[in-house]
Amino acid sequence: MPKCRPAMRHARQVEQSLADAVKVALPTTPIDLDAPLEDASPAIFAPTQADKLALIDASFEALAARCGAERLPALKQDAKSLRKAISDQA
Amino acid sequence: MTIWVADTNLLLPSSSRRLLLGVAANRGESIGITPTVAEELRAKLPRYMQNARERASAQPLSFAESRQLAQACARWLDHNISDQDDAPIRLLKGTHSLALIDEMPPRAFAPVLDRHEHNDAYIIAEAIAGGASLLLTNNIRTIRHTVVNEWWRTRFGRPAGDSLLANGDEGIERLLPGNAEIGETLCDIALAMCVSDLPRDADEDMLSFERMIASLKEQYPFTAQVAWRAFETTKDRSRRIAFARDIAGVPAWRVARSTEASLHQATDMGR
Repeated sequence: MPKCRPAMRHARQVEQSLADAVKVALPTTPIDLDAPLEDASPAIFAPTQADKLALIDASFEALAARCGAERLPALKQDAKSLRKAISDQA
Repeated sequence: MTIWVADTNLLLPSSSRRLLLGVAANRGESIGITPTVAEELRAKLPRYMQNARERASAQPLSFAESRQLAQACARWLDHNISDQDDAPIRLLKGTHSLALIDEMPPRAFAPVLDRHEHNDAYIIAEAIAGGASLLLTNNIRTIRHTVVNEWWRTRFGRPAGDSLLANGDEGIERLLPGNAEIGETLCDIALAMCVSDLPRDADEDMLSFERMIASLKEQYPFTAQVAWRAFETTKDRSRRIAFARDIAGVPAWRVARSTEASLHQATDMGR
């Protein structure tokens, strides 16, 4: 098995206890899980451009308030590029 | 331990539901929902899936097919949602309290409606009654998050900076440990929720991951961005995908993956 990344270690640590607790029968056949196709259709829940921008701004504010100073520049850059991508779509 | 719940708008789209199932697997727990969210899922999931199937096949479902699909969705919900701790989607036992809804400031909801006719008010009340301290919702058009959070802090004596409502991106960050490696973790979670157990070449896996990220962008713009960046800067992508496949074999992740796969199998109309 590949070495666990530290951030995924928690999942490893709890796996056995969860496996014991979980009553859901684990499938014995392969799980063919491909990426979802249906979400690619923007018309299902079509947020407006204003909705998308509002979500970016709200997320940015919340994340900026939580993240450390070292992450803030990258976060600002992300917000800028995400806003630009939405504006370019219009 | 944080008791967290997700709103309907984050559980209908497959990519968002998968991300949350992956986050729950990472934490070794279930996704929490409230009774009103369960009702909304029951009402909205069949239509959501029908729209998806019709778009994929570019033709409308017949009445029989649409009925069959609704029954498949209902069976899937019955099988996967319960108030048992080990259910993939756990129904919180809290019920709404009209008194608590009365206490909520009317300006918390926009447009200002009678709070008793506003499902969001019920969901918030049920989440609180169920002991939740985090409710993930991207509904920023009709719920004023800052107003609800201020009221919640005052009403329940929570410290400044604490919040009950969080949009998808913020909620995901609150649920995952550590800041420095968040991109790596998100990338691994997204990959683990879209790789197949079947033999597939690396290009197909990458395409699948790209589609997953593209779908996530709608509701988790920052999450999608950092997960993609972590993948893009990975020196050995095949090894990263192999790692995701390895994670996908862990029991908690098999539950999360089979929960998602079973919906698609159940509603596959053979088109």
